[in-house]
Amino acid sequence: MEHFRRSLLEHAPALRRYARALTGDRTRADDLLQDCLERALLRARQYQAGTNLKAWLFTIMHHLFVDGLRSAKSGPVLVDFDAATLDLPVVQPEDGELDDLGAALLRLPAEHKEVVLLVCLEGWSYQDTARILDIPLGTVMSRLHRARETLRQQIFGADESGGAP
Amino acid sequence: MTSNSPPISDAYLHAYVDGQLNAAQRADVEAFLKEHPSKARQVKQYRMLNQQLHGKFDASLDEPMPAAVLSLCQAEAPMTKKNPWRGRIAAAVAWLAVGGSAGWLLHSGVGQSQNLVTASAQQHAYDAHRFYVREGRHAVEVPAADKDHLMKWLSGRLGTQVGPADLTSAGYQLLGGRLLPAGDYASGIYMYENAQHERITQYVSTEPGVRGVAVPQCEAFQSLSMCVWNKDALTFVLVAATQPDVLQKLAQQVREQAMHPTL
Repeated sequence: MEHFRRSLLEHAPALRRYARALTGDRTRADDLLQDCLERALLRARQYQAGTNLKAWLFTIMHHLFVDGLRSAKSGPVLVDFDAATLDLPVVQPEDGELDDLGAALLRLPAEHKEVVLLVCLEGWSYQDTARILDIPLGTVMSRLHRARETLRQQIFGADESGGAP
Repeated sequence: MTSNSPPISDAYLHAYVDGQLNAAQRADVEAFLKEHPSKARQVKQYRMLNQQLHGKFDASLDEPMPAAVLSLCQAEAPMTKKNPWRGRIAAAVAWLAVGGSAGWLLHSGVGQSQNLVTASAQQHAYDAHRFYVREGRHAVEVPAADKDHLMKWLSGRLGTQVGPADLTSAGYQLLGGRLLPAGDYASGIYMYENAQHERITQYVSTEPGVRGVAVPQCEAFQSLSMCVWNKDALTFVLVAATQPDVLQKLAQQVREQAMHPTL
Protein backbone atom coordinates (compact mmCIF):
# COMPACT_ATOMS: atom_id res chain seq x y z
CA MET A 1 0.00 0.00 0.00
CA GLU A 2 2.89 2.30 0.81
CA HIS A 3 4.34 1.61 -2.58
CA PHE A 4 0.96 2.15 -4.22
CA ARG A 5 0.65 5.55 -2.60
CA ARG A 6 4.07 6.58 -3.83
CA SER A 7 3.21 5.42 -7.32
CA LEU A 8 0.16 7.65 -7.24
CA LEU A 9 2.37 10.61 -6.51
CA GLU A 10 4.52 9.83 -9.54
CA HIS A 11 1.51 10.20 -11.80
CA ALA A 12 -0.03 13.15 -9.99
CA PRO A 13 1.70 15.85 -12.09
CA ALA A 14 0.38 14.48 -15.38
CA LEU A 15 -3.06 13.97 -13.87
CA ARG A 16 -3.06 17.55 -12.67
CA ARG A 17 -1.95 18.87 -16.05
CA TYR A 18 -4.78 16.95 -17.68
CA ALA A 19 -7.26 18.21 -15.06
CA ARG A 20 -6.12 21.81 -15.57
CA ALA A 21 -6.63 21.60 -19.30
CA LEU A 22 -9.92 19.79 -18.89
CA THR A 23 -11.51 22.16 -16.41
CA GLY A 24 -9.71 25.40 -17.29
CA ASP A 25 -9.68 26.16 -13.58
CA ARG A 26 -6.98 25.57 -10.96
CA THR A 27 -9.26 24.94 -8.05
CA ARG A 28 -11.50 22.57 -9.90
CA ALA A 29 -8.46 20.81 -11.27
CA ASP A 30 -6.98 20.33 -7.82
CA ASP A 31 -10.33 19.05 -6.56
CA LEU A 32 -10.52 16.64 -9.47
CA LEU A 33 -6.98 15.44 -8.79
CA GLN A 34 -7.66 14.87 -5.12
CA ASP A 35 -10.92 13.08 -5.81
CA CYS A 36 -9.14 10.92 -8.35
CA LEU A 37 -6.37 9.89 -5.96
CA GLU A 38 -8.80 9.28 -3.14
CA ARG A 39 -10.92 7.06 -5.31
CA ALA A 40 -7.80 5.25 -6.46
CA LEU A 41 -6.87 4.56 -2.84
CA LEU A 42 -10.36 3.39 -2.03
CA ARG A 43 -10.27 1.03 -4.98
CA ALA A 44 -6.65 0.04 -4.69
CA ARG A 45 -7.67 -3.60 -4.40
CA GLN A 46 -9.35 -3.44 -7.79
CA TYR A 47 -6.16 -2.38 -9.45
CA GLN A 48 -4.43 -5.34 -11.05
CA ALA A 49 -0.74 -5.25 -10.38
CA GLY A 50 1.32 -5.21 -13.53
CA THR A 51 -1.29 -3.39 -15.58
CA ASN A 52 -0.88 0.22 -16.55
CA LEU A 53 -1.43 2.21 -13.34
CA LYS A 54 -1.26 5.54 -15.12
CA ALA A 55 -3.98 4.53 -17.56
CA TRP A 56 -6.07 3.23 -14.67
CA LEU A 57 -5.75 6.62 -12.94
CA PHE A 58 -6.69 8.50 -16.08
CA THR A 59 -9.73 6.26 -16.41
CA ILE A 60 -10.77 7.17 -12.87
CA MET A 61 -10.30 10.85 -13.60
CA HIS A 62 -12.35 10.52 -16.76
CA HIS A 63 -15.24 9.00 -14.80
CA LEU A 64 -15.08 11.67 -12.12
CA PHE A 65 -14.99 14.41 -14.72
CA VAL A 66 -18.01 13.04 -16.57
CA ASP A 67 -19.91 12.47 -13.30
CA GLY A 68 -19.20 16.07 -12.37
CA LEU A 69 -20.54 17.30 -15.68
CA ARG A 70 -23.68 15.22 -15.34
CA SER A 71 -24.46 16.49 -11.88
CA ALA A 72 -23.65 20.04 -12.88
CA LYS A 73 -25.90 19.64 -15.87
CA SER A 74 -28.90 18.17 -14.11
CA GLY A 75 -28.71 20.93 -11.57
CA PRO A 76 -30.38 24.30 -11.62
CA VAL A 77 -27.67 26.00 -13.63
CA LEU A 78 -29.38 28.67 -15.65
CA VAL A 79 -27.41 28.40 -18.87
CA ASP A 80 -28.13 27.22 -22.35
CA PHE A 81 -26.28 24.17 -23.39
CA ASP A 82 -26.13 21.92 -26.34
CA ALA A 83 -27.96 18.83 -25.20
CA ALA A 84 -26.00 16.75 -27.65
CA THR A 85 -22.77 17.32 -25.79
CA LEU A 86 -21.46 17.04 -22.29
CA ASP A 87 -20.10 20.53 -22.45
CA LEU A 88 -19.80 22.62 -19.34
CA PRO A 89 -21.21 26.09 -19.13
CA VAL A 90 -18.49 28.45 -20.18
CA VAL A 91 -16.92 29.86 -17.07
CA GLN A 92 -14.15 32.37 -16.81
CA PRO A 93 -11.20 30.70 -15.16
CA GLU A 94 -10.32 32.45 -11.95
CA ASP A 95 -6.74 32.80 -13.10
CA GLY A 96 -7.94 35.31 -15.65
CA GLU A 97 -5.49 34.05 -18.23
CA LEU A 98 -7.95 33.16 -20.92
CA ASP A 99 -6.03 33.20 -24.17
CA ASP A 100 -7.31 31.98 -27.54
CA LEU A 101 -6.42 28.40 -26.78
CA GLY A 102 -7.99 28.51 -23.32
CA ALA A 103 -11.17 30.02 -24.72
CA ALA A 104 -11.32 27.52 -27.55
CA LEU A 105 -10.88 24.62 -25.10
CA LEU A 106 -13.69 25.90 -22.91
CA ARG A 107 -15.99 25.93 -25.92
CA LEU A 108 -15.07 22.45 -27.02
CA PRO A 109 -17.58 19.69 -26.21
CA ALA A 110 -16.25 17.71 -23.25
CA GLU A 111 -15.98 14.40 -25.10
CA HIS A 112 -13.95 16.04 -27.87
CA LYS A 113 -11.79 17.87 -25.37
CA GLU A 114 -10.97 14.68 -23.51
CA VAL A 115 -9.73 12.98 -26.67
CA VAL A 116 -7.69 15.89 -27.93
CA LEU A 117 -6.05 16.42 -24.54
CA LEU A 118 -5.28 12.77 -23.93
CA VAL A 119 -3.65 12.48 -27.35
CA CYS A 120 -2.08 15.88 -27.96
CA LEU A 121 -1.16 16.94 -24.44
CA GLU A 122 -0.78 13.70 -22.51
CA GLY A 123 0.66 11.74 -25.39
CA TRP A 124 -1.52 8.65 -25.07
CA SER A 125 -1.72 6.35 -28.07
CA TYR A 126 -5.05 6.07 -29.84
CA GLN A 127 -5.47 2.57 -28.42
CA ASP A 128 -4.84 3.71 -24.86
CA THR A 129 -7.15 6.69 -25.33
CA ALA A 130 -9.88 4.34 -26.52
CA ARG A 131 -9.37 2.18 -23.43
CA ILE A 132 -9.26 5.10 -20.99
CA LEU A 133 -12.48 6.58 -22.36
CA ASP A 134 -14.03 3.18 -23.08
CA ILE A 135 -14.95 4.11 -26.64
CA PRO A 136 -14.13 2.44 -29.98
CA LEU A 137 -10.94 3.39 -31.77
CA GLY A 138 -12.95 4.82 -34.66
CA THR A 139 -14.69 7.16 -32.24
CA VAL A 140 -11.33 8.32 -30.92
CA MET A 141 -10.26 9.13 -34.47
CA SER A 142 -13.42 10.97 -35.42
CA ARG A 143 -13.46 12.99 -32.18
CA LEU A 144 -9.78 13.76 -32.53
CA HIS A 145 -10.33 15.03 -36.04
CA ARG A 146 -13.30 17.17 -35.13
CA ALA A 147 -11.65 18.57 -32.02
CA ARG A 148 -8.42 19.39 -33.79
CA GLU A 149 -10.20 20.97 -36.71
CA THR A 150 -12.30 23.09 -34.38
CA LEU A 151 -9.26 24.26 -32.43
CA ARG A 152 -7.20 24.78 -35.55
CA GLN A 153 -9.83 26.94 -37.18
CA GLN A 154 -10.48 28.95 -34.03
CA ILE A 155 -6.81 29.60 -33.44
CA PHE A 156 -5.36 29.86 -36.93
CA GLY A 157 -8.51 30.94 -38.73
CA ALA A 158 -10.65 29.01 -41.18
CA ASP A 159 -9.23 27.94 -44.48
CA GLU A 160 -10.23 25.75 -47.35
CA SER A 161 -8.28 22.70 -46.34
CA GLY A 162 -9.07 19.96 -43.89
CA GLY A 163 -12.51 20.61 -42.48
CA ALA A 164 -15.18 18.10 -43.22
CA PRO A 165 -13.95 14.61 -43.89
CA MET B 1 -6.24 4.01 -41.52
CA THR B 2 -4.62 1.08 -43.22
CA SER B 3 -4.33 2.41 -46.74
CA ASN B 4 -0.86 3.66 -47.54
CA SER B 5 -1.60 4.83 -51.04
CA PRO B 6 -2.76 8.32 -51.91
CA PRO B 7 -4.99 9.99 -51.07
CA ILE B 8 -3.92 9.85 -47.46
CA SER B 9 -6.82 9.91 -45.03
CA ASP B 10 -7.19 12.46 -42.25
CA ALA B 11 -6.72 9.67 -39.72
CA TYR B 12 -3.32 9.04 -41.27
CA LEU B 13 -2.41 12.69 -41.00
CA HIS B 14 -3.31 12.71 -37.34
CA ALA B 15 -1.34 9.55 -36.71
CA TYR B 16 1.59 11.17 -38.50
CA VAL B 17 1.46 14.24 -36.27
CA ASP B 18 1.09 12.10 -33.17
CA GLY B 19 4.06 9.91 -33.99
CA GLN B 20 1.99 6.77 -34.29
CA LEU B 21 3.22 5.63 -37.71
CA ASN B 22 6.15 3.44 -38.64
CA ALA B 23 8.94 4.64 -40.92
CA ALA B 24 7.38 3.39 -44.15
CA GLN B 25 4.03 4.98 -43.30
CA ARG B 26 5.74 8.24 -42.43
CA ALA B 27 7.49 8.27 -45.80
CA ASP B 28 4.14 7.79 -47.55
CA VAL B 29 2.62 10.69 -45.69
CA GLU B 30 5.60 12.93 -46.33
CA ALA B 31 5.46 12.20 -50.04
CA PHE B 32 1.76 12.99 -50.03
CA LEU B 33 2.28 16.26 -48.14
CA LYS B 34 4.83 17.48 -50.70
CA GLU B 35 2.15 17.34 -53.34
CA HIS B 36 -0.64 18.77 -51.17
CA PRO B 37 0.40 22.09 -49.63
CA SER B 38 -2.95 22.74 -47.97
CA LYS B 39 -2.72 19.38 -46.22
CA ALA B 40 0.86 20.22 -45.29
CA ARG B 41 -0.35 23.43 -43.71
CA GLN B 42 -3.07 21.52 -41.87
CA VAL B 43 -0.46 19.14 -40.47
CA LYS B 44 1.81 22.02 -39.52
CA GLN B 45 -1.02 23.69 -37.64
CA TYR B 46 -1.83 20.44 -35.83
CA ARG B 47 1.77 20.36 -34.67
CA MET B 48 1.60 23.96 -33.55
CA LEU B 49 -1.55 23.17 -31.63
CA ASN B 50 0.24 20.41 -29.77
CA GLN B 51 3.06 22.81 -28.99
CA GLN B 52 0.63 25.43 -27.77
CA LEU B 53 -1.07 22.91 -25.50
CA HIS B 54 2.27 21.97 -23.99
CA GLY B 55 3.29 25.60 -23.75
CA LYS B 56 0.15 26.43 -21.87
CA PHE B 57 -0.07 23.49 -19.51
CA ASP B 58 3.37 21.96 -19.01
CA ALA B 59 4.33 24.54 -16.39
CA SER B 60 1.86 22.87 -14.05
CA LEU B 61 4.05 19.76 -14.04
CA ASP B 62 6.63 21.54 -11.92
CA GLU B 63 4.32 23.23 -9.48
CA PRO B 64 4.33 21.87 -5.96
CA MET B 65 1.53 19.47 -5.18
CA PRO B 66 -1.18 20.67 -2.80
CA ALA B 67 -0.51 19.55 0.77
CA ALA B 68 -3.67 17.47 0.77
CA VAL B 69 -2.44 15.48 -2.22
CA LEU B 70 0.98 15.00 -0.68
CA SER B 71 -0.33 13.68 2.59
CA LEU B 72 -2.76 11.47 0.69
CA CYS B 73 0.06 9.86 -1.23
CA GLN B 74 2.67 9.78 1.50
CA ALA B 75 0.92 9.00 4.72
CA GLU B 76 -0.29 5.64 5.80
CA ALA B 77 -2.20 7.78 8.25
CA PRO B 78 -5.94 8.24 8.06
CA MET B 79 -7.29 9.66 4.87
CA THR B 80 -6.66 13.35 4.50
CA LYS B 81 -9.34 15.66 5.61
CA LYS B 82 -10.41 17.04 2.30
CA ASN B 83 -12.25 20.15 1.49
CA PRO B 84 -15.51 19.13 3.08
CA TRP B 85 -17.69 20.94 0.66
CA ARG B 86 -17.29 18.65 -2.26
CA GLY B 87 -18.07 15.29 -2.99
CA ARG B 88 -19.44 12.01 -3.35
CA ILE B 89 -22.98 12.21 -4.29
CA ALA B 90 -22.92 9.09 -6.40
CA ALA B 91 -22.89 6.67 -3.51
CA ALA B 92 -25.71 8.48 -1.83
CA VAL B 93 -27.70 8.53 -5.02
CA ALA B 94 -27.19 4.83 -5.52
CA TRP B 95 -28.14 4.13 -1.95
CA LEU B 96 -31.30 6.17 -2.20
CA ALA B 97 -32.20 4.79 -5.57
CA VAL B 98 -32.19 1.33 -4.05
CA GLY B 99 -34.56 2.53 -1.39
CA GLY B 100 -36.80 4.05 -4.00
CA SER B 101 -36.52 7.48 -2.56
CA ALA B 102 -36.35 10.44 -4.86
CA GLY B 103 -35.98 14.14 -4.73
CA TRP B 104 -33.15 16.39 -3.77
CA LEU B 105 -30.45 13.78 -3.98
CA LEU B 106 -31.58 12.12 -7.13
CA HIS B 107 -31.64 15.34 -8.96
CA SER B 108 -28.02 15.48 -7.87
CA GLY B 109 -27.74 19.05 -9.04
CA VAL B 110 -25.97 19.58 -5.79
CA GLY B 111 -23.11 18.99 -8.09
CA GLN B 112 -19.60 19.37 -6.86
CA SER B 113 -20.59 20.64 -3.53
CA GLN B 114 -21.82 17.97 -1.17
CA ASN B 115 -20.51 15.08 0.71
CA LEU B 116 -22.71 12.15 1.43
CA VAL B 117 -23.75 13.08 4.93
CA THR B 118 -24.59 16.68 4.25
CA ALA B 119 -26.43 15.58 1.17
CA SER B 120 -28.54 13.27 3.25
CA ALA B 121 -29.23 16.09 5.72
CA GLN B 122 -30.40 18.13 2.75
CA GLN B 123 -32.57 15.25 1.61
CA HIS B 124 -34.16 15.02 5.05
CA ALA B 125 -34.68 18.77 5.19
CA TYR B 126 -36.14 18.85 1.72
CA ASP B 127 -38.52 15.99 2.48
CA ALA B 128 -39.56 17.53 5.79
CA HIS B 129 -40.29 20.88 4.19
CA ARG B 130 -42.33 19.42 1.36
CA PHE B 131 -44.17 17.08 3.68
CA TYR B 132 -45.15 19.57 6.37
CA VAL B 133 -45.42 22.83 4.46
CA ARG B 134 -48.78 21.84 3.04
CA GLU B 135 -50.24 21.13 6.46
CA GLY B 136 -52.23 23.98 7.89
CA ARG B 137 -52.38 23.92 11.66
CA HIS B 138 -50.60 20.58 11.91
CA ALA B 139 -47.44 21.65 10.18
CA VAL B 140 -45.86 21.91 13.60
CA GLU B 141 -46.08 19.73 16.65
CA VAL B 142 -45.52 22.52 19.13
CA PRO B 143 -46.83 25.97 18.20
CA ALA B 144 -44.92 29.21 18.59
CA ALA B 145 -47.05 30.04 21.62
CA ASP B 146 -45.06 27.36 23.45
CA LYS B 147 -41.76 28.56 22.08
CA ASP B 148 -39.81 28.12 25.31
CA HIS B 149 -40.99 24.57 25.74
CA LEU B 150 -40.33 23.81 22.08
CA MET B 151 -36.81 25.15 22.26
CA LYS B 152 -35.95 23.24 25.42
CA TRP B 153 -37.38 20.07 24.01
CA LEU B 154 -35.55 20.23 20.67
CA SER B 155 -32.34 21.46 22.28
CA GLY B 156 -32.50 18.54 24.68
CA ARG B 157 -32.86 16.03 21.87
CA LEU B 158 -30.19 17.71 19.75
CA GLY B 159 -27.82 17.92 22.70
CA THR B 160 -27.14 21.60 22.07
CA GLN B 161 -29.00 24.81 22.62
CA VAL B 162 -30.66 25.52 19.28
CA GLY B 163 -33.45 27.98 18.87
CA PRO B 164 -35.40 29.69 16.14
CA ALA B 165 -34.30 33.03 14.74
CA ASP B 166 -36.20 36.29 14.76
CA LEU B 167 -37.07 36.79 11.09
CA THR B 168 -39.79 39.37 11.66
CA SER B 169 -37.74 42.03 9.88
CA ALA B 170 -38.15 39.89 6.77
CA GLY B 171 -41.85 39.42 7.47
CA TYR B 172 -41.69 35.89 8.83
CA GLN B 173 -43.17 34.82 12.16
CA LEU B 174 -42.31 31.61 13.95
CA LEU B 175 -45.04 29.03 13.42
CA GLY B 176 -43.59 26.36 15.70
CA GLY B 177 -41.52 23.24 15.36
CA ARG B 178 -41.27 19.51 15.62
CA LEU B 179 -38.88 16.67 16.29
CA LEU B 180 -37.92 14.37 13.40
CA PRO B 181 -35.90 11.20 13.01
CA ALA B 182 -32.78 11.35 10.84
CA GLY B 183 -31.60 7.78 10.58
CA ASP B 184 -30.19 6.99 14.00
CA TYR B 185 -29.92 10.64 14.85
CA ALA B 186 -32.23 13.37 16.01
CA SER B 187 -33.27 16.35 14.01
CA GLY B 188 -35.79 19.06 14.37
CA ILE B 189 -37.45 21.81 12.42
CA TYR B 190 -38.55 25.29 13.20
CA MET B 191 -41.07 26.60 10.71
CA TYR B 192 -41.73 30.24 9.88
CA GLU B 193 -44.54 31.83 7.91
CA ASN B 194 -45.18 35.26 6.42
CA ALA B 195 -48.41 37.13 5.74
CA GLN B 196 -48.72 35.44 2.34
CA HIS B 197 -48.55 32.06 4.13
CA GLU B 198 -45.18 31.34 2.55
CA ARG B 199 -43.16 29.13 4.79
CA ILE B 200 -39.53 28.58 5.64
CA THR B 201 -38.23 25.42 7.25
CA GLN B 202 -35.16 25.59 9.46
CA TYR B 203 -33.83 22.06 9.73
CA VAL B 204 -31.24 21.17 12.35
CA SER B 205 -29.67 17.76 12.65
CA THR B 206 -27.05 15.92 14.65
CA GLU B 207 -26.27 13.62 11.73
CA PRO B 208 -22.48 13.39 11.67
CA GLY B 209 -21.54 15.51 8.76
CA VAL B 210 -19.02 17.81 7.26
CA ARG B 211 -17.41 20.53 9.29
CA GLY B 212 -16.20 23.95 8.50
CA VAL B 213 -18.96 25.14 6.20
CA ALA B 214 -19.40 28.31 8.16
CA VAL B 215 -21.12 30.36 5.50
CA PRO B 216 -24.49 29.11 4.25
CA GLN B 217 -24.23 27.59 0.79
CA CYS B 218 -27.41 28.14 -1.17
CA GLU B 219 -28.79 26.51 -4.27
CA ALA B 220 -32.07 26.44 -6.14
CA PHE B 221 -33.79 23.17 -6.71
CA GLN B 222 -37.01 23.05 -8.72
CA SER B 223 -39.26 25.63 -7.08
CA LEU B 224 -37.34 25.56 -3.79
CA SER B 225 -34.07 26.92 -2.53
CA MET B 226 -31.88 25.37 0.11
CA CYS B 227 -29.06 26.78 2.20
CA VAL B 228 -26.73 24.50 4.13
CA TRP B 229 -24.07 25.16 6.73
CA ASN B 230 -22.47 23.61 9.77
CA LYS B 231 -21.97 24.77 13.29
CA ASP B 232 -20.06 22.56 15.70
CA ALA B 233 -21.75 19.17 15.61
CA LEU B 234 -24.88 20.41 13.90
CA THR B 235 -25.91 20.60 10.28
CA PHE B 236 -28.36 23.35 9.41
CA VAL B 237 -30.53 23.46 6.31
CA LEU B 238 -32.91 26.25 5.43
CA VAL B 239 -35.59 25.45 2.83
CA ALA B 240 -38.13 27.76 1.21
CA ALA B 241 -39.80 28.56 -2.07
CA THR B 242 -37.71 31.65 -2.69
CA GLN B 243 -34.70 32.64 -4.69
CA PRO B 244 -31.36 31.39 -3.32
CA ASP B 245 -30.05 34.93 -2.77
CA VAL B 246 -33.13 35.84 -0.75
CA LEU B 247 -32.80 32.71 1.33
CA GLN B 248 -29.10 33.36 1.78
CA LYS B 249 -29.85 36.55 3.71
CA LEU B 250 -32.32 34.75 5.94
CA ALA B 251 -29.83 31.93 6.43
CA GLN B 252 -27.30 34.45 7.69
CA GLN B 253 -29.78 35.65 10.27
CA VAL B 254 -30.60 32.12 11.36
CA ARG B 255 -26.92 31.28 11.53
CA GLU B 256 -26.23 34.25 13.78
CA GLN B 257 -29.16 33.67 16.09
CA ALA B 258 -29.90 29.97 16.24
CA MET B 259 -27.08 29.01 18.56
CA HIS B 260 -27.69 31.95 20.87
CA PRO B 261 -31.43 31.79 21.34
CA THR B 262 -33.06 34.25 23.62
CA LEU B 263 -35.42 32.50 25.92
